[in-house]
Amino acid sequence: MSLSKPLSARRLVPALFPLAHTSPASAAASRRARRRDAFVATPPTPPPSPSSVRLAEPLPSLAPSRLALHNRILELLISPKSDDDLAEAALFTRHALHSNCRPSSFTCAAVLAALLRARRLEEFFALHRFALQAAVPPTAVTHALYLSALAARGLPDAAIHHLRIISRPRSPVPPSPTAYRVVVRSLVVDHGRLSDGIQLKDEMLESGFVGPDPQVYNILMAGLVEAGDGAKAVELYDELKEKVGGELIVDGIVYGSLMKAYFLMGMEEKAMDCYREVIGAESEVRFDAESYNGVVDALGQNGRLDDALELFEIMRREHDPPLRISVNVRSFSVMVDAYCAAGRIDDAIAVFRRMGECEVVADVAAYNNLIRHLSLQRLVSEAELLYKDIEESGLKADEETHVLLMEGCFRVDRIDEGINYFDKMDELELKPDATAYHKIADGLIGHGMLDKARMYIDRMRVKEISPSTASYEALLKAYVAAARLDDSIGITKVILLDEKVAFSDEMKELLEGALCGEGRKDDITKLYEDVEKEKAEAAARAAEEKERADALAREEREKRRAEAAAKDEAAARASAAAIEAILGHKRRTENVTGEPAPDANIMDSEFQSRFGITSDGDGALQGISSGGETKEGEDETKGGDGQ
Amino acid sequence: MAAAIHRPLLRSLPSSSTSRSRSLLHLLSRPLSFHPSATSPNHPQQWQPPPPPQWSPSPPPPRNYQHQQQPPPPPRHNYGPPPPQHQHQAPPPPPRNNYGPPPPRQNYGHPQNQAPQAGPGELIGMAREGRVKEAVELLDKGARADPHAFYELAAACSNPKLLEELRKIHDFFLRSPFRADLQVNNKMLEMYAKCAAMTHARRTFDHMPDRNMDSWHIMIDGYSVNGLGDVALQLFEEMKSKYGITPTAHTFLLVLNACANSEAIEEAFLYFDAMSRDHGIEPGVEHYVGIIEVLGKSGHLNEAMEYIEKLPFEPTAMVWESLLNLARMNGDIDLEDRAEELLVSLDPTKVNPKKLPTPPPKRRLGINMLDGRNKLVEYRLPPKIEKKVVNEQRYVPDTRYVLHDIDQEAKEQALLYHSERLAIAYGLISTPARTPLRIIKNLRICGDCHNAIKIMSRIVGRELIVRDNKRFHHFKDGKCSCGDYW
Ligand SMILES: [Zn+2]
Ligand SMILES: [Zn+2]
Repeated sequence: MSLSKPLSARRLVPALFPLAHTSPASAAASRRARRRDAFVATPPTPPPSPSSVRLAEPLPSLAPSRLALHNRILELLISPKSDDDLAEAALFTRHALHSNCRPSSFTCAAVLAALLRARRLEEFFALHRFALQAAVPPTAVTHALYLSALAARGLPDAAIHHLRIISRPRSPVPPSPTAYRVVVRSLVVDHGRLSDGIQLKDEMLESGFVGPDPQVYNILMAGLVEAGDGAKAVELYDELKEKVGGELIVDGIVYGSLMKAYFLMGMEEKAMDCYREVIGAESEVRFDAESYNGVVDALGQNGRLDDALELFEIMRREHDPPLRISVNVRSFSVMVDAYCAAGRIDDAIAVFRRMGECEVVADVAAYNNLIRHLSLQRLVSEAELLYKDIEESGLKADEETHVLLMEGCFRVDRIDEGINYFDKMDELELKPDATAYHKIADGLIGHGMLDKARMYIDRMRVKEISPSTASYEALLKAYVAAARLDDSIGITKVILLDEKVAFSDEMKELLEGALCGEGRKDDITKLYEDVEKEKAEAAARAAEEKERADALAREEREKRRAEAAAKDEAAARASAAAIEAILGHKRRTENVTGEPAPDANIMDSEFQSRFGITSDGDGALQGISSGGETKEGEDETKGGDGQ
Repeated sequence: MAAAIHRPLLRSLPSSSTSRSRSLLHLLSRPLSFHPSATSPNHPQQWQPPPPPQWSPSPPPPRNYQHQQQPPPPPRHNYGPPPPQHQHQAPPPPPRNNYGPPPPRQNYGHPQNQAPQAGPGELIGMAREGRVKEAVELLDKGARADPHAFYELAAACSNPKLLEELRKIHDFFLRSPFRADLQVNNKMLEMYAKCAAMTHARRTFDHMPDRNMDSWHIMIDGYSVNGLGDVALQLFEEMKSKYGITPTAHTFLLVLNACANSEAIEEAFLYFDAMSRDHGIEPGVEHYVGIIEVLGKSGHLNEAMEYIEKLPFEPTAMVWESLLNLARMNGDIDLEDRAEELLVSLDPTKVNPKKLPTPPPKRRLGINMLDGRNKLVEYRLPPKIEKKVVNEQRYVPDTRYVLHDIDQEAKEQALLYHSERLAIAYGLISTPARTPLRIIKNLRICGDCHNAIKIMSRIVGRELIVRDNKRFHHFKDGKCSCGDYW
């Protein structure tokens, strides 16, 4: 890889080149058209017209006091003394929005980024909404953060919607490549919605704001490979290549997925040709740690451990932190995977232990990865050693760690210890999800401990986690198999009453078959009747509730309407009186001074005292010498006598 | 051209309602600072004072971002005194709609005045000591200046508060025989830019007898630093197409900076490519840094990092320093750490003082404001933010519009709202966060306002103390001390 040979930025970072314009003049014309209705001003300065869009104030134009506020808040974010510092930063930003020193768009974005990083999504959305309402204009960063938060909250459709709004042709603040990456990743990786991801990619190219981004293509290619569609992944690669001018793609991120696609299609030769072409000494392709990891993984998962090892050596030689980072913690995980795929567990553990040599620090995900392999290989004591390591290295084992250990224990028939790992999560304030519960229930059923399994399913419902259909069905099957028919009927009732899951025909047949076999046909009818009855009762209860709420709301509305009418009348009276007061005062002033335009400041103090505005900050910040309350009270009586 | 725009503005100013509301804001938002010297009545009358510059009373275009504490910025009259002497002066100055250099005054040097005149040396000395106002007074009294003195005097007007002085100096300069001096003219451009008065800079620029590359650079840069990157780009295009001037490497640097200030990403890359292709200028590290700034300031921080990783050379300390600042600006702490690590590894002298142990910021907020006679307890919302606040927040825009209205059509609009709400809205934006706010009202507070103020106190996290003719209401955290009985 030559670093000295200059390549055009267009090829290096294609995402930044939407190729929409050929000359600065036309690019400027389109930018100005987009911003025709935009303006820059600090609230409460109103927009020049109702349709105007407020833009963020450029940083260099911010007053020193606002920069100081930015720095002050950054300080809270950079070296938080406690969790409260983050909350304090958010709260202070919020309070400052209605003060004489407003946080800029940048300050708000900094706090939002910190909240997102801490996964405090509730607070994130609250501050985001509050800032928008206080007319803080969003920047490209704000949009990207908001999209990330929506993705983290598991709301991909809301994210798509927002992205489409900000990528409309006249959008004053168009999305960055990061915005598309975030949403496409959420769609493909978290929700398996490949076709929606591909559609969004096409919209990205059409928008004219973001060019063909290799990272977006890579997310899609990896998703396709995962879904077993190697051909479509290769097709996407070809499309990307064509979009960047038919030349070699210099961003290494795509090659891991491409090789996996070739391997998947059984084209091993092609995969290895590609590997040699892009990794060779003459190659122009730029690899960072993540790109390398993809290639190592492709090799390791396809029986090419030696090549993977060789590449890993190259990566380690190149690694020169902090200047050049070509190995990261995930590199070690893909190497662990590669060794395990070749059945060399000892080497996997050895490579894991060598992270320190590259100044890489293991994270929980890396530990979990190795624990998974160990527990699959029934090496539970080794896994437990790692579990202790996690604590000692100052990390916190997460839900996944505990579930993996539990599964490992179940695998070697150490049931009680497995249950202990699961129960330990409660003590550690970890929150296992439905999948985790399914795993313990399934494991217990596998060991014939049906009552324990039932207990965990019930516990889920208490904790308001919806059990999955699979959990219910596993238990029902086990009850039927163990000929515990009363329990079968009991769990079926629960399933039928749970509106979030469906009772499949297969299960129905299974249950009815078992009951008929025992000659308890009547029980089936009774079961369905009971369920119907209970459902009807529940519906009636809900209707009653609703009725009561409606009545309350109605009453409230009427009361408010009456109040509003009275208020309007009072307001009209007060307005008339106040107008009269001001006019009267103006006449008096004119008579006294005989000048058409009285000195502005006389009017000011007049106004100020009319309303008696004072703040403890006045003296210090504004240099206004505000009189005591008594004096203002007198002014008040004088000025307000017309009211 | 701009004079024509300004003259009608001047005439419309005395309208009482606008001046009233304008100055209201002015009073509340900043200290009163009048310059007695400027309105001084004992002005020597033995020679005719220089005609007031026609465009002087009109403000530069609204430049709100310069004065954030200021509520709706009116036309700016905060620094200078109201210009009474312009109105009362007789005889009226010859109309000068055009800003072109006026004919040199015959009596330059004030022959009538027999007293010994101050010379350039004295003026330069005063300029260097920052005594600009005194120097201007001396000029008024007929002191003689040479190009060097004009240069030094202009250079001393380095902040917007001295704009009035700069304009006076400029006016004397235009009346002097040296008004064509390129260096001084360039200095005037530069100082107008520093005083955030780009309209004046542009007018000066348009009427300069000659310009050099510096003049163009000063103008392009001046627009950029004043947040008018787009105008800078227009000027650059004009320079190339209309005047056929070939840009230099430095010009492109300024152009990239202008792009950064107007989020013109695509243009930046196109100009960057054009640099070597059309003008044979090979980009230097600073031009690459220029692109990085364009990306970072436009909010494309990840992309800036990617661009750096793919630079055709090993990134230098300058590159990482730029990224560090961009990350700090956008509040991306992780990227800031990484950039800092890289920067320090390349240049150990750049260890950031921020990382040194500093005493934690005082948690007692609003220190000065709370000490005093009627010290009030500091109050904060509980850190947890309830979801319910959504509805309540709708009140805020309302009060903003109240302000907006008061600025525009004070008389009718403002009074549609109850005075206490108006006063609170007003007080909020003119005082620091988290300080209690006191409102005194001579009528009893109405129920709607009482509710509205309860909500306001919760949203803005302030204690709002309203004294009506019956009692005190201490609003905080969405509740009132009167317990809703009043
Ligand atoms: Zn009221
Ligand atoms: Zn009250």
